[in-house]
Amino acid sequence: MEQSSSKALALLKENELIERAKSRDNAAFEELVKRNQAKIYNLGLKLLGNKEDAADLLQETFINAYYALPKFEGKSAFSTWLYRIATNNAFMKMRKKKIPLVRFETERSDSSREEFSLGMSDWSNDPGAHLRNQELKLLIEKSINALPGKYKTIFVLHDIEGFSTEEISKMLNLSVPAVKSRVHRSRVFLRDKLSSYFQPGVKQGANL
Amino acid sequence: MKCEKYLELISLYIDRELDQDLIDVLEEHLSLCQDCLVFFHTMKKTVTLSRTYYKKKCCRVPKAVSTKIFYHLRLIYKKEQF
Ligand SMILES: [Zn+2]
Repeated sequence: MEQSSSKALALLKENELIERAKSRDNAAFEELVKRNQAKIYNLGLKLLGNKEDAADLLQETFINAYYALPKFEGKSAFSTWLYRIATNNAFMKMRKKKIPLVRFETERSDSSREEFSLGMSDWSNDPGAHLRNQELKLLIEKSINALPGKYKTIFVLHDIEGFSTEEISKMLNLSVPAVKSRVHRSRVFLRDKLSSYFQPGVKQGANL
Repeated sequence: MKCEKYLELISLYIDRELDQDLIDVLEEHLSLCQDCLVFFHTMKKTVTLSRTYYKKKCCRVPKAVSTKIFYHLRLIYKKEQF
């Protein structure tokens, strides 16, 4: 296959790069890697929590993408397709590390499901001010990491990366209502964890 | 409707994915029920805090990591040629 020069590639639109990369213009594929690697690396950091695993995930994702690219039909955006490969790899890594994918670690003992943090005061309005607080930063990180793998992934894709529920449903082979309900459950779980910071001693609940 | 039923609608409400008739029902309840209103605000804050936290944490791909990927890809190209 004819190889493009890297200077010219930097100016090309993504669609054009994909077409070239599909016919094994390797320089075009490498340009796609350059453009997308930061996204996938940061996704790996969020989902797996450390640099080594994020680096492995990044490499595996692009190697898989290289082999799978001839089958890419452009039905979804290229980034959605990449995230699909990346999240599948992340799930495999989580399984290897025995991180639960769907089961919440803290099964609540009391059966009063309808109860939630009654009378909890409103939290202050400036998130930036809160985040200068090291204790809260650690709590956010710890809480997100305590989510089961698939919930964490859905929460990160939806609430942090800004993907729509439709896009996530395609990435993860889940129905749209299933994605929505997992977004909600993740938020409820995190809110519950964070509420102990904002109002220590308040009874926790709100498990839906 | 019990509070629990309203709470299940909160995420859809935050994401503006709730139908208008349910928005009306929920907003009426929120105007009457302090507990659900606090739940709504703290759910929104949970999302904002998480988002703000990660925005500040964005990392560059380390040079060595990137170099290793291109090295591996080039091995694959070679293999594919045979
Ligand atoms: Zn209520």
